[in-house]
Amino acid sequence: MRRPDSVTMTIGFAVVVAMLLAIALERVVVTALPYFGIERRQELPKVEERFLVQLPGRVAALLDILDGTPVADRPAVLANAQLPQVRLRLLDAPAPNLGDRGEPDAEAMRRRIEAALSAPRPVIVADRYRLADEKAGPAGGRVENGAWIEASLSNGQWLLVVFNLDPPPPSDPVAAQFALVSIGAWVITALALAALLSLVAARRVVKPLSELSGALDRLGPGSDDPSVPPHGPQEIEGIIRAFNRMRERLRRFNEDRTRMMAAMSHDLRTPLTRLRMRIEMAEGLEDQQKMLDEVDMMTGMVESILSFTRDDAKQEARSLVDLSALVEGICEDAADAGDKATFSGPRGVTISCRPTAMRRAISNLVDNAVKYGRTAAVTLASEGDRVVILVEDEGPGIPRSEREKVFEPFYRIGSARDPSTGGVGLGLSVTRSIIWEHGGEITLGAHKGGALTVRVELSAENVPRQQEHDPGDAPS
Amino acid sequence: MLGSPTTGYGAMDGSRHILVVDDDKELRGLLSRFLTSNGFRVTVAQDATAMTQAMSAARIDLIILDIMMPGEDGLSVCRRLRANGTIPIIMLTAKGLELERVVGLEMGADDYLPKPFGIHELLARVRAVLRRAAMPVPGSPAGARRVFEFAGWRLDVSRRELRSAANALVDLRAAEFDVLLALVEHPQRVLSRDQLLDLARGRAGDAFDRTIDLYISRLRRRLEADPKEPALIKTMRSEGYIFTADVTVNGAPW
Repeated sequence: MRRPDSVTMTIGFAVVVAMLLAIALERVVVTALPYFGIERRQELPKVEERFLVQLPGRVAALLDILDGTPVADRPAVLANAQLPQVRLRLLDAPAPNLGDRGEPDAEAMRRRIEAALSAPRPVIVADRYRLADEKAGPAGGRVENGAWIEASLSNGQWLLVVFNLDPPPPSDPVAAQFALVSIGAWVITALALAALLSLVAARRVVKPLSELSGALDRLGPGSDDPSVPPHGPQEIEGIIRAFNRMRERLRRFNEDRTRMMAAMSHDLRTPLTRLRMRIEMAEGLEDQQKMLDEVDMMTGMVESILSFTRDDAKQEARSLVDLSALVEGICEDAADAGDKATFSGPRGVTISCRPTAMRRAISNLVDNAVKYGRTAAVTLASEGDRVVILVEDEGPGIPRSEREKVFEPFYRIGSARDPSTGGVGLGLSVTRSIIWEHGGEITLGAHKGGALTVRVELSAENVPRQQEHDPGDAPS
Repeated sequence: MLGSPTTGYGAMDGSRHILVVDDDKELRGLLSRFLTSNGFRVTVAQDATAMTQAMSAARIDLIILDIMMPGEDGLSVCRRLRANGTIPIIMLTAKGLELERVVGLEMGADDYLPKPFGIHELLARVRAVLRRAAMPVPGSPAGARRVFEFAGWRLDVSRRELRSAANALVDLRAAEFDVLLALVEHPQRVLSRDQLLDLARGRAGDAFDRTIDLYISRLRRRLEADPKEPALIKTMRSEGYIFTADVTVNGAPW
């Protein structure tokens, strides 16, 4: 059994109501049409035919009855002899008739009446008569569809049969106008109601869906969005519930993974620490420094894999950071270590970022430049609300076809595959995910005939966000 | 085994008692051997319970605490110890986990050391923390949060952060921070390179004397309006350096 708030029921309800409205509207319009002189002509032949066939017999029968009735009793008989759409009146003399006599229809009617009479008597039939004593109708007092029948009775009386098929004239023009206005209002109201109803129905379906799609968009590792409250039509509520369950499974999976990574990193670190201590404490060990270098290299590899899997960049709080100082510091570190690294750019360019993650992202680029391109020339420029960092080297560059692939985890091109360089192929992957996580862009290009240029574009944040630890908690 | 220094500079540490808390038996043994050989008295504990027992059995001067242990973890232990006293703590953390470092320091650890560490660095940190504990900062209980302010800059000691007047974080290396802290703690005083080296934790190694100048020049590039005409950190020819700014700590004059 479908609940009343399912999509099916929602759409069904909207359709039913729309149909009802349409029917109601149709009734209103049809009823009101005659007020505007718009007739349903297709129905007239039937009515005319009915009366043309039936009327002569009835009129003849009535004449016979009246003839045999005393004059004083005739009005009572007449009152009982009501025929539909026919007015009967007793006259003392033939009325002045303004209609067209001798019309084929009128003649046919006259002959039929005469044929039905038990005794012949004078009968006058006129078509399209004009009534002198009638109010002027839409056709100026002239009845277009009807008949005027006069027949003489005994005692010199005449029977007048007025047969009128024309629509009744409006009681007054103000009412007609009012009818027009009210029909307009009705149409507009009905349309507005129908539109409103479909909007409400559509919204009920679409709103939870768009909320869900927003939540799906934001869903990612480490996202801690609250789950979407299940609401809306039954089927969509079902989707939202399914989404929330999936989100919960992902969150648990992610937690398990994070816990596993933390345990692994701890378990790997401890033997590495022991190994390092043993090497350092050993007396007279040959190649001691080389062994320590090996341990450091292994540590570095473990670190980069763990930090990539852990995605711990997102755990760090954002802060307003002096990017100039950060980038210059990285270049100074490289220069201190004996590499050719230079920095140029304005001081005091600040952005909002996760400082440790950003330092890792930029130092990966500088490390790569000095490792594979001999030098790192780093420039920082503030362009409007963007900050651009260029890292240029003097190496062989990266062919266009490889420029996208080098960002893939564990992908290494020729020279970098040499294990002595110590990389595991995660540097650029880590850098790119950090830059992306900050809403920036990173692209590889070439300069000076092929050497590599790495361009990082970040949005400058000169307005400090609300700091997690703002100066408010320190006396000033 | 107790207090028998095997290196020349261990004598002054002879009576110091270090408690090593780590769940790895081998590592405890190695740390114990190394610290003992450097003249410390060492007790080991495999978890928080054993640590509490060891602390009630003898006076402890410093605790080396692993952050990840079965049972009560290092952070919780650290917070508990800090609530009850001022015993110096060095945390062993996972390298690169910025969160652990910050949280560890905020829980009241005096220093942290990422695994895997070098034994010389460990020794330097142990000595520096013990020395700082022996010279409590006047007017400021050990372990309390200290924020220095000078010339618009803010130096947050517990978070190890330097922020500009615009509240932007300025990235500093550990050694740069230590040199700056040494200068800020001794304003308007000429400090020789040796004094600075000693104050900035006294890292072992001949190369440090040369790099004091290097760190000073790096600090000037961060702090000075014109690094070529330094106003904050002035060079006293052949004597050393002088930090010229007025310093406040937690809002009060230093």
